[in-house]
Amino acid sequence: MRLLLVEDERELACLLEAGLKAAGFAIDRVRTVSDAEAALETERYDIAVLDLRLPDGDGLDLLKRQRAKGLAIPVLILTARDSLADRIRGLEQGGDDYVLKPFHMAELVARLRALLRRPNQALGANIVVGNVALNTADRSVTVSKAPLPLSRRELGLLELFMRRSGRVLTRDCIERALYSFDDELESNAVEVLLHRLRRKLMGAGASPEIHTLRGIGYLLEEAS
Amino acid sequence: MLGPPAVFMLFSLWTVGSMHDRALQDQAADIVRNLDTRVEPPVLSLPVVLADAYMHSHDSYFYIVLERDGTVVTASSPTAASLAARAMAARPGEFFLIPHKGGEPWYVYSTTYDGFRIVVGQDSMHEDVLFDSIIREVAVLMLWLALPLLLVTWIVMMHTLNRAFSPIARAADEARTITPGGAEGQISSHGLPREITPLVKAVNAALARLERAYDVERRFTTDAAHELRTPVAVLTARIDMLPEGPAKESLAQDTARLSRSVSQLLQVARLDAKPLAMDEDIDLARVVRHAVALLAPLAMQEGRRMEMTAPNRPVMIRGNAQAIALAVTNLVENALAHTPAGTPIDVQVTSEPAICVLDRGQGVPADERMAIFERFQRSPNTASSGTGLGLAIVAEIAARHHAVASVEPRAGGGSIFAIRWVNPA
Repeated sequence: MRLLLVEDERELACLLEAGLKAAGFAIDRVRTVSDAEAALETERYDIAVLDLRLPDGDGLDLLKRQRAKGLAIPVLILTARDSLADRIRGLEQGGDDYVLKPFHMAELVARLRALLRRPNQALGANIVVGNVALNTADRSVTVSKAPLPLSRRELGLLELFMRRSGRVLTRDCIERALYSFDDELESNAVEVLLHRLRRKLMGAGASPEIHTLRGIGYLLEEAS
Repeated sequence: MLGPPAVFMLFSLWTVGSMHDRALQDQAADIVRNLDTRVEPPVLSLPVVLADAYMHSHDSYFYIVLERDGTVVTASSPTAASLAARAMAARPGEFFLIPHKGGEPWYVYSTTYDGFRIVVGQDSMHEDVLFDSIIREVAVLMLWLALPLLLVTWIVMMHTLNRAFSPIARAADEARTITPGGAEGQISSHGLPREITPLVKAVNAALARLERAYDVERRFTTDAAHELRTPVAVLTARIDMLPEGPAKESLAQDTARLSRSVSQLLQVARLDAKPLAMDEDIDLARVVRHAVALLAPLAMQEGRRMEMTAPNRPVMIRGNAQAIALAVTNLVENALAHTPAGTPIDVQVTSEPAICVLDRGQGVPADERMAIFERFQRSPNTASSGTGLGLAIVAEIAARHHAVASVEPRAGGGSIFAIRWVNPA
């Protein structure tokens, strides 16, 4: 995977380059908006990491211009600007994810990998949590390589959990992701669905488990 | 413009003249009324009050009663009697003046009654007094004349003032919408009276200066965010590259704490720099649930049970959802930092409305419960990490929502940190 790193802080850029190389990325590193523009126009990258505050301009302007020219690769914004307004602006102007400094290398790598397996990518990707794998192209699930048949809704719910493994999903959030406004929704529909999915995963010997945090939500986590 | 005063003057003068005459005629009538001509010679028996008045008038009032041939029958005083000859020179019914040595001339009137000549006079000095009474009389008349005029003036004035002030009311409306960092931040002087334009310009200049100062403040917080976070990011990345071991773990904890301090300092700076937009209708249960959901994995990693209870109905307040989420985050982070791993943390939203974060830690001593919400105040009894800013931010956000942040002991051990809306609007 070829990655363009746009970061002007020399030390942070060096550390990022080393960390990302160790994670298997091929890195091109630039320090300015103009260098980044030149690089994007001559090379083909799979993904970019973009700092917003650059010596010769704002990273967001660069992103907006490049998106207007048809730049399609995922871009992760890496910045110190943490207000909600900044975050929303970043995502609206073409950022695919927004990581706040300081960050852990492991989290950055995980987010980059998550961006690379977005369903809108041409090739399907495997999302893996523990011994459970979900193929986003042919919509199949395996547990320890053995196929696990799931209904359309169960598979949707599992995908939601696997894309956000380690994060808590509130019931609102699940309802909004799985059901449209027109769907007649029983008040306990989500619970029933969760119960069925949980039983099927346990039955198949899956290593991650769906935990319930009463009153808060649910999360899929590797049993420790 | 000169019309009404001129009319007033003429009217007054005429009235003064005529009143003076009338007074003399009245005076003569008084004498006639009390003159008994059936006896010879005729007897004047004035009422005591009137007789007294003539006696003490020092000749400023006088009367003379004369025979047809000019013989004095009776007079108010010897001085009056001495004027008999002059008085007889005038025809009855005439008003005339008799000079008075060392004083204003007398204004005199004579009439005949039953063959006798009655002469009365008074010092013309008394015109002053008369004039006063006339003014009073005229004033009442003028009031009736003036009332409709005043009414018309008032209506015209109100209309004019209204027209003059409506642009000012509009300017006031504009001023009311100005907030720091808002889009316009200026009052337009269009349509305002010319006299007010310099004031509006001065206010606009002052607003522009404030806006610049606010901009500097805001730029400071974004610059500070960058300047503080970048070195922490370098540090974090460097530590991430270290081989696993106890040293790496404690360094990671130190940088996490540093990172939290930086975040909270920036939160405080941002809260101080800008008033919160308080215009959202918020379901507390929903906002709190989302904030708690983000922190729940951290709690699980520490082996804590975390639960939340809330009413089935939405708990609505008006305010700023992001700020409420920040306050809840700080309360839960505070519980995570100050209570032992493995102990539960419960979050409650009640319809009071209130947000409560309940822990099973060692509790907060009674004498520290107020101070704990002040900046850079930390319990001396806790050795654990914390910046002393998290709870101050909670208190500040609560106050901006007209709510109160507090800590109370929890039955069975631990603390209840609460944000309560005491008088929900």
